[in-house]
Amino acid sequence: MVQKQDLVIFNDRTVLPDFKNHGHTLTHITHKLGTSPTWLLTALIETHIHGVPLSLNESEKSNGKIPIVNKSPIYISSFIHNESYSEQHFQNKISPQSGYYILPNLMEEIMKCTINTHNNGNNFDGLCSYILKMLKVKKEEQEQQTTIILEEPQLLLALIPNLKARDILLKLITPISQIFQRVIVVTNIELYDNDATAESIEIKKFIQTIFYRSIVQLSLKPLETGRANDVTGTLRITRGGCASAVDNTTFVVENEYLYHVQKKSIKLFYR
Amino acid sequence: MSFRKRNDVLSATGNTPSDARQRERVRMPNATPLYGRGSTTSSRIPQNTTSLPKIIPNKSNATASQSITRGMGDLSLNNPSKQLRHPGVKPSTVITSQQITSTGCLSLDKYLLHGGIPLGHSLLIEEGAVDSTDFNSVLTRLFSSQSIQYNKIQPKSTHLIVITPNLHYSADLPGLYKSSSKREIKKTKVVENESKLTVQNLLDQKISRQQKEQVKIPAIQEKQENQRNLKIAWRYGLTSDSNNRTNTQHSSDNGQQSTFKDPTAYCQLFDITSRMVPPPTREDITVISPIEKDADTCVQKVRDAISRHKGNLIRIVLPSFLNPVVYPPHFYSLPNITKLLYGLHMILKEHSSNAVLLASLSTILFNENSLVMNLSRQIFSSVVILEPFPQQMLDYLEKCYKAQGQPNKVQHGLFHVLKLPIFSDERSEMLIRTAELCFRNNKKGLDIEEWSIPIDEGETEQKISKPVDISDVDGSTHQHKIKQTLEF
Repeated sequence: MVQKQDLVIFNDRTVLPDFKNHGHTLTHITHKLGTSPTWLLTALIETHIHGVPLSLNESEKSNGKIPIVNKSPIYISSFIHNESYSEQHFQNKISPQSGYYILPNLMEEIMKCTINTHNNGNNFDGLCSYILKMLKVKKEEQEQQTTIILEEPQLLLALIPNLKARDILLKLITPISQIFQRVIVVTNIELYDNDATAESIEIKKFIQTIFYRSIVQLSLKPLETGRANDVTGTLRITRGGCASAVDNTTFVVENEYLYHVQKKSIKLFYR
Repeated sequence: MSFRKRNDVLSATGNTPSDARQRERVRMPNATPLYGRGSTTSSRIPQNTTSLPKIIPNKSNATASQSITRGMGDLSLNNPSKQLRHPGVKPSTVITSQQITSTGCLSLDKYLLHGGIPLGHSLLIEEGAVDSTDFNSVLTRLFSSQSIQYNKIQPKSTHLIVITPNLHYSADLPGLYKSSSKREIKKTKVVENESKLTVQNLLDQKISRQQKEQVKIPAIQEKQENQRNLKIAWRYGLTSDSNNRTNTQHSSDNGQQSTFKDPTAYCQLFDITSRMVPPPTREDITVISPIEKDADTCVQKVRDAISRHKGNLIRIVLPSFLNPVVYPPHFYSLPNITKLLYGLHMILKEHSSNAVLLASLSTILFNENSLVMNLSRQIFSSVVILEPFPQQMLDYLEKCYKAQGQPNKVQHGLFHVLKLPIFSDERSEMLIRTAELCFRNNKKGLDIEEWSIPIDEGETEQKISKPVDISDVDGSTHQHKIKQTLEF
């Protein structure tokens, strides 16, 4: 029989940081070409709603009826995929009884704005305030604790000319971190440290800052030896730059898993 | 615990999981158009939160519900009525609910796993810089020719949008491949003659029809005898008969589909040394230059072209993107490139049921790990790389295959797969295949196959002819000559 291990990130055997212990937290997920983070995001969304990552290690089948432990909504906001992608992907995986919002593709909104107004993205402040206004109104609707997933926000640096990393951090990420208790930022690490262009340097700064602000770092990588039939890649859990800021009782358990994505299941193994 | 009969329809009562899901999630009523943008924003919130303050009060719930149907309707999987009836569209070989279209290159279709590019997805072909090769243009031209050919099979069914500064692109497209064997030439001549509307042909058709009817009567009698004598054979006969009947019914129901019964119409063979005759018209192709104005204008022009050809299969091609021969230096700013690529990506997602994009990127000016390359790899849903062999390697291969008596088998480079549509992004599967495949350029286009280094028979012969000394334990020496029939 093949040994399987559950996904555990904190020492209290939880996957997502507890609001009571940690306050506002930032989780950073990095991925590379060939190891898309879609399965991990699904697992985190399931953890938010059901308390456990159901799609991992075939725990869904064994559990039977799945209770909803958290009725607070989770927001999915992507700068790379559009709504129909998220809808199509998460529709079958997430229980319809739970509340989750799929926000419009923010990059698309920005693109449309630049096309319509020809302002070339110079009005970045206005765009940020629009996004925050939308999120704040939504947050006020529910007085419960909330989680947001921001997918590939660093793409803004490639799209808007002369935009600095600190602009996104100060005007978008920091206010969002203040609104939401859990912020999960997903970045493609292939865009890190590419060449010496101004945009590349800004993207590097942005990813570094996200790392320093995060309490946990989840890195998805393909195997260094190449493609294998029974392993898709590795998931490495390490403490983020802000891990020491949380309380002493709960801490990140550094670990490395091998994972295998199959058509209907995802299996995790300790490395 | 309750059970439901398999054929019972629940949708009428609104008890399906999808209905429950729709009840739970409705579009956000307070979503605002961004800076006066006309279209609706499309967020989702649970229905029980409709009493929330609205940012824009005049946005009605009716509009919100309409936008839900728009969002869901765009998915080809969820709306079978939107699926195209087209000679160049068929279900994916892996995900049958996903429709695909051909790249125009049979072997490339095969290695994309689906049998083509899924509608609403994109393919990026990168080519490394070795001796200024241009194999990627073969693939983009095949893709373009295939689009035009679909229009010839079924008029006004396909529209090709080419984004290139080369405004004479359509003049260079390859024509259909014509076999040089005598038998094939005879066959095509017979088919051409038969397709002509002449008195002789009409008479021949009438005679053949009469002959068929006469043949049918003894066939039925024979069948009845078989039914009596061989029950099993009769059963098989009946099933094949019923299959034929259902097939003919299906084709007659579809109407249009009966016109493209020929399975070869999906991906045809082209001769890259020939030119398409007659050349494509404005109905078939739109050429847009990306360097005339900024990227936004280019994206807008693509949108306009799509709106002029509603209901058609839209095939967008971006050949030799960022090739310094055709693109001016001012085009190489990252925001400009991102805007163009992301704009096309958005268009694909909006027209996910009838549009595909194929782009070829020249990597002459970029490092393998440059930001432009990695960014494009992230935006495109599938990425392949053509890595031409250096001259030394080509010389070696030529020498090997000449010795084997197969000079046409020389491969021209490696074919790497980095991303595959749906599998890589949505299913998170790791499908990177580097140095496993190779390609060969020939008259019919590119052939992709498994890569293996051929054996240099000249070298092995030299080694074989040398006597091999093998010393035994006792010190005595024997001389062996290995036979040439050794299997490697």
